[in-house]
Amino acid sequence: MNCAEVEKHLSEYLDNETASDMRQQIAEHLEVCESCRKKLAELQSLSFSLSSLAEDLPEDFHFSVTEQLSKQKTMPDKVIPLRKRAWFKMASVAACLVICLGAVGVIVNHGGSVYQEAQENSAAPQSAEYILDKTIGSDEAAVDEQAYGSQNMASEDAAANDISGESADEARDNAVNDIDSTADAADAAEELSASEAEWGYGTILLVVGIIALIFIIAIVLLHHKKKSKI
Amino acid sequence: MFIQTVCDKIMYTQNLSQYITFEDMIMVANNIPPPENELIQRAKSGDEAAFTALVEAYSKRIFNIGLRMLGSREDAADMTQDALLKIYRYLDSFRGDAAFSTWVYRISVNCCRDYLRIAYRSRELPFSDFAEDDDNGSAFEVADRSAIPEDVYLSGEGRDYLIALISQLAPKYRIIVVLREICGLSYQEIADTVDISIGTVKSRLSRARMALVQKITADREQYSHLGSLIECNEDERRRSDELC
Repeated sequence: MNCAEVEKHLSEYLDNETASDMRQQIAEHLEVCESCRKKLAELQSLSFSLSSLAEDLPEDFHFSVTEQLSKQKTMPDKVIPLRKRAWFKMASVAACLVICLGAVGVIVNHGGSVYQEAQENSAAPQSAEYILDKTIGSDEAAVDEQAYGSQNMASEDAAANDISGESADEARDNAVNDIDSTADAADAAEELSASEAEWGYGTILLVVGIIALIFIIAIVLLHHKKKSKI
Repeated sequence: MFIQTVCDKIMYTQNLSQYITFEDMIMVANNIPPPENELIQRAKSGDEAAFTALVEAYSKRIFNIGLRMLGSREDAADMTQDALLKIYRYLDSFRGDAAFSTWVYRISVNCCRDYLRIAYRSRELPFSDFAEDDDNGSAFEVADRSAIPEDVYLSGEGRDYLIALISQLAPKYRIIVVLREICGLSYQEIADTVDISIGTVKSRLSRARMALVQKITADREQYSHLGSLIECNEDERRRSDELC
């Protein structure tokens, strides 16, 4: 063992708390190392000096269970009240902040969606016309194409000309219906996403804040019933 | 008188269907207090006198833990009162799994920790718990000399200086030094009391002792009388030679 290793274990060697094989190694090192012997002597002397610091109980010290129990009933508790603790204050502030943020979030989202809705309503006729024109245009093209296809298919059967005309009409109606249903689905999706945005982050923050507040109130209530730790 | 007392004891133990041993007879004859277990049982059943006798042996050590950890005799006396009252209150929960002494010291150290925590909080200082694993950093909380007043350096044989020096140790090192050097607890008892491993007890005690020796060695250059704190007298030199 070198001096650094011995120095690390000198304290436990002094207290006779080293394992026997290590004790042997340290003893062998101490026989040949003057510096480590000096350190051991210093530790021993320090230990002796420290042990002399023990003092007697004060002369007026007297312990009586009955006296102490009656004294505790009349004296205020030394434990710092929960409401004065730093972490409690911080938690309360954080909970209030989260609730405020949540409320602001809900208001902003809700107000925003109302404004957006109003804007959409005002722009609705124009866009409806535009969509209608576009739909009809594409509708006619689709129907013509479909009818052309049908006509080609029907050209092999000359007797089917009238029927192909009827089927073209049916196809046109179907296409218009399909486009209407697609537009309805798109409207529904927009409404859904708008409601998600409305009740999204703001609501989550609000709920988290309320849960935090409930948690703090529960801690306060439990704290009064909790027995002091041994 | 002696025979009468022994006969009374025998009758008492026979009534309880117990055996009387030779040690019991010696105890009665020499007026030795009843063993700790008996006192514990009596105290559990509400015998205040038995409780007073039970904790009498521990009061001084508890007071010294408080004195060196808190630094004031008044606080130490209050802490001792609180600890003894807690021991009385929770005596029913003592099952005998650990030694009674360890249980008593554990309650006292916890009580001391509560007092320290309040003191640190009032000074707005961070308090690191005794059982914290992190042993990095210096064993001394205050590294500079200015923390100890000049008159402490100059007083007597260095006793006040040593007390001031211990108070500069971080609480988790100080408690180990106090339990070992002043209360004389074994490493296992300290580990059980503070709720840390024996390895941690060894390393903390070693670091604290080395830090104290280093500080005294540095201060000895200016105040030569402090050297007596770490210099061997004849008895110590002989004991040191025996160790080697």
